[in-house]
Amino acid sequence: MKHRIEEINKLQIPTWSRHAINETTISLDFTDLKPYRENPLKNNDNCIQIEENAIKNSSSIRMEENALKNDADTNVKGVREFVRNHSNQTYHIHINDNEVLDEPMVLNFIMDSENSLLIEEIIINAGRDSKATIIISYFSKEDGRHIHCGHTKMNLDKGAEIDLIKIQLLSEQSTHLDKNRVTVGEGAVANMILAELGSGNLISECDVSLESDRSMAKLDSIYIGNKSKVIDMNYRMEYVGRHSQGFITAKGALMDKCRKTFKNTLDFVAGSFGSKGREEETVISLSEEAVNISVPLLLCGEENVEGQHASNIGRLSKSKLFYLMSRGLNEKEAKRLMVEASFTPIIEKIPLEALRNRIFHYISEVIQHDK
Amino acid sequence: MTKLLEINNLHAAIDGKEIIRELNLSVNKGEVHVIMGPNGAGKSTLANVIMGYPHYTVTKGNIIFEEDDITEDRTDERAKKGIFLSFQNSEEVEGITVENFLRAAKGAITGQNISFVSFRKELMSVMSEIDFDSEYAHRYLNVGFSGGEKKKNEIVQMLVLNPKLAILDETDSGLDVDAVRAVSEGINRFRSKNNAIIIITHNTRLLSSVEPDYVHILADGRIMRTGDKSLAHEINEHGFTSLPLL
Ligand SMILES: Nc1ncnc2c1ncn2[C@@H]1O[C@H](COP(=O)(O)OP(=O)(O)OP(=O)(O)O)[C@@H](O)[C@H]1O
Ligand SMILES: [Mg+2]
Repeated sequence: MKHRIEEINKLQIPTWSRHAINETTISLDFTDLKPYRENPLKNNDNCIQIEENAIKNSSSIRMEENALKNDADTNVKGVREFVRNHSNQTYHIHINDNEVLDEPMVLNFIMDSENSLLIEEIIINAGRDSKATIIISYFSKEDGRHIHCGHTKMNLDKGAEIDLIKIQLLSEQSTHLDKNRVTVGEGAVANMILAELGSGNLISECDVSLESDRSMAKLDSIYIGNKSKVIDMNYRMEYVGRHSQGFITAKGALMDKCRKTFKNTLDFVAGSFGSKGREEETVISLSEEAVNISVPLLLCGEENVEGQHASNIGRLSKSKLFYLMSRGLNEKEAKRLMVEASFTPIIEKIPLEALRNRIFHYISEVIQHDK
Repeated sequence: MTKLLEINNLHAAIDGKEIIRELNLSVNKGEVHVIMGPNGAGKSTLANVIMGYPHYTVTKGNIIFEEDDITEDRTDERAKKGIFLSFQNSEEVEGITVENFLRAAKGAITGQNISFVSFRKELMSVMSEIDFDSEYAHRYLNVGFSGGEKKKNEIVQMLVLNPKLAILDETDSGLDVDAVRAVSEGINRFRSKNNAIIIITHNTRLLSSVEPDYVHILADGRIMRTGDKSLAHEINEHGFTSLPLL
């Protein structure tokens, strides 16, 4: 059965472009797929050692059993509605007021032929002045078509400090559709890393609202386009509170005939006095045929704010490549070095070494198979 | 005398324009050769062709390195065989620190995994030898380096990678007096009976401390004359036009 989701990654203000970038529509075919049954809290992957989850004291990760509630609708608007109707995994992560968790909480979704359809809803509530790191990863254990469609809603109360790290390394034949809604309370800090590395068709959305005074968010993203991969990313920071700060840093590498659209919006609403925002994208283009579309949008409903956009495109020119090769590196090693160099400052922020290594391994594999 | 490099009747062109023609050069282990010549004569082109820059096409002749015909080899293969080029204009590479780059290069050339700790030690000692602030090891490769700093960084790379043949393309240009001394000390320390150096230069400053075995004059794409150190001084005083062959 085919399901159609419309109005994904919608741009706040439509712009004209011959590339039709204002919004995305996707058709998901569930035929032959099997709903996700594994326990992501368990370390169930042989190739990676993730420490047992820290669910301390009264803070909790709670799971709700509600596999494929409704198969009826085939045409919905938005990821939220779709996940609501079809989720087969739902998690509530609740962190109590004043609680500081030293160990990261880890949800590790491993997909394979027996667990090939993951539609999950995650709700994270971080209490006042709480502190925690939450890592959610999506891996394909083997080749094959896997579909992941997820919605994560995270709310940070006053003074909370949460690191949310998502790592996606799904197989090439997979589709990954992930939406994140984050609200940041007064003086709270949300640090997010979205490592969108795998899957042949990837749609990633992150909508952050800096709701209160001195709310702060950092969103770091890395992505790799290879082969004929299609990437559609839509990141948005909304500045509501006074003196709020929100930064987006995206680093990407494009190869082969991939196609990337990156929409990023900094929206300073009226009253966001003294707020600061910056969006910076660095793309390493390793192919002439790759399509690289960036749509930065800076909206100012408030005068006394500071918003900046920066984008850099790094190309491995023939002379640069010659220089690197003259030191003994072959073409692929030179490319890998360039990509790793760009991604490393973000990868280094991931607290688990096994995950970092897995990402580096993935990068080198992708470049090794690049034509 | 063991032969290291032999260039036979080399012709090389770029975009169909012949720049090197009928060039012959033979370099033995233990030797230092100096190549001088007017601007645009083809000196950097020759260096790039020896290193295998794909932009240039060898239309005739061949390049033999340690009895191996390397004319068709890729650049990285030549580097692995022991050829090093200190670039006249080195490239800036954002995002890769000097240290990480050189460790990767050393690993590629030796085919071994280079330990982080021992490599750092080696790099620091090499940098201090040529009076290059170790701070630069953590900066991105050549990014924002001054002209002289770029040249020093090339010499650091030469000393760390320890090639059999080092070609220095105007490595002495743009260096202050102290830097020339530091660089020539580095070159002298590198120099051994097992390797050879080709120095491309426009002046004799370096030659007061680095003793050359041969001085060649390259003009119009070919070697017009070969002599000893006195030839370099002759040119330094009277210029190229004084030479009968030009
Ligand atoms: N990419 C190119 N396209 C066209 N001509 C080129 C190219 N590269 C070099 N040349 C030409 O080849 C000739 C030799 O250049 P080369 O850089 O080898 O000179 P050089 O001897 O190193 O000079 P200098 O002393 O100024 O460094 C010059 O006339 C130059 O213009
Ligand atoms: Mg030159």
